[in-house]
Amino acid sequence: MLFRTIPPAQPCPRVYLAPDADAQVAARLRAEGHATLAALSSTPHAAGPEQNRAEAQRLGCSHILSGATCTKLD
Amino acid sequence: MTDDPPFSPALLPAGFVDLLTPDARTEAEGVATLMRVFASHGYDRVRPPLMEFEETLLAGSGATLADQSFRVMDPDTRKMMVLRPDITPQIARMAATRLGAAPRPLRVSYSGACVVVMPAAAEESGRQIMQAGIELIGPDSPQADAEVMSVGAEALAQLGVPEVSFDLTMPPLVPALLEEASISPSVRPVLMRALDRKDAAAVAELGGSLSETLIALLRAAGPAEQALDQLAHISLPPRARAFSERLAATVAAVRKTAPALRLTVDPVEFRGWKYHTGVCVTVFVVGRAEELGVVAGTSPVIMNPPAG
Repeated sequence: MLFRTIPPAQPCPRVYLAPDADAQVAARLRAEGHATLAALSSTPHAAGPEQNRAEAQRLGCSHILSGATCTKLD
Repeated sequence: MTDDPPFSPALLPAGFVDLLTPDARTEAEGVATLMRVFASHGYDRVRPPLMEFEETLLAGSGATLADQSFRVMDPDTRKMMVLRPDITPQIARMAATRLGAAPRPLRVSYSGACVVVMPAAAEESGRQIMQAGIELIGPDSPQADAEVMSVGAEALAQLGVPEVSFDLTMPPLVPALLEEASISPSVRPVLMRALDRKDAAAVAELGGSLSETLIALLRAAGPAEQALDQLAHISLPPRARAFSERLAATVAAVRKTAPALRLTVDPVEFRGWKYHTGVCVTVFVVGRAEELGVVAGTSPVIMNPPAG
């Protein structure tokens, strides 16, 4: 009851880690409060940039980290 | 008339305790630390209820928990309910129902109190257990195993647990091997008990043509790389071979994501083979005998932080 009187918890921003994502940058994003979702190989193969973006969107991510570059998905 | 002493208000049922500060804080803050690490890897938090219908919680793989469950009758509906002894089957139920349509891989985390009839480890005296864990549902791959283990390791490191060791087993390997080698079904249970006790003499006696292979498997337990090297030299029939290769693939995937992790392999260990269909991981604190948690085939990491 008490918890229904306050605003719901804020979602934490989700970043999809492409297979080539830099591990240190990913760790820094986590430390800054992002949730990072690692690519798993059983998810669509042939990880072209398009497939990676599609997979990121499918998993509800707002950003994608490829190499050391984090981009916002539109 | 009996002269019972007056019932003390401090008396609690066996296995239940009042936690005071600092123990209560250690537990609460420890759980918060674990959950923060889980969330940072995209494991969305869920909170299943404390009680469920007996027939749903103890259905399927939950049946193995029947002996561990306290039962309560709902005075309203007269239905039997259980106090959860483990959160894992609740997550499996949620994944199949409420989260059935959620995209896979599904990453969920959970924490909460469980109540068991008999504590699993003799040294653990409490019947109320604080459980915190994650499940990665969908992919059954070495990469998924590796992710769950490295997130678990990171969470334990954040918690300040000094040194942990992950022991990998493949519970279905031995049953598959005995089946493929046409060991008679009447001998299998005795042979499995001998293997379980690591009783090489009994294994040699009961194993027939398979004795040499089984003893080689018994010897191939230890630090991961050494164990896998020995395992690779043992000739196995196709299904058993596939299981052993999968074990090796998981070790390789873990080495990629968490190269420093302390890993051991025991190919013969098959405790829990009735419900573990893949790689099973038990976490130990180095230098102590009791288990810290289990990572099963469909990948739940369960941690029972020391409650005081």
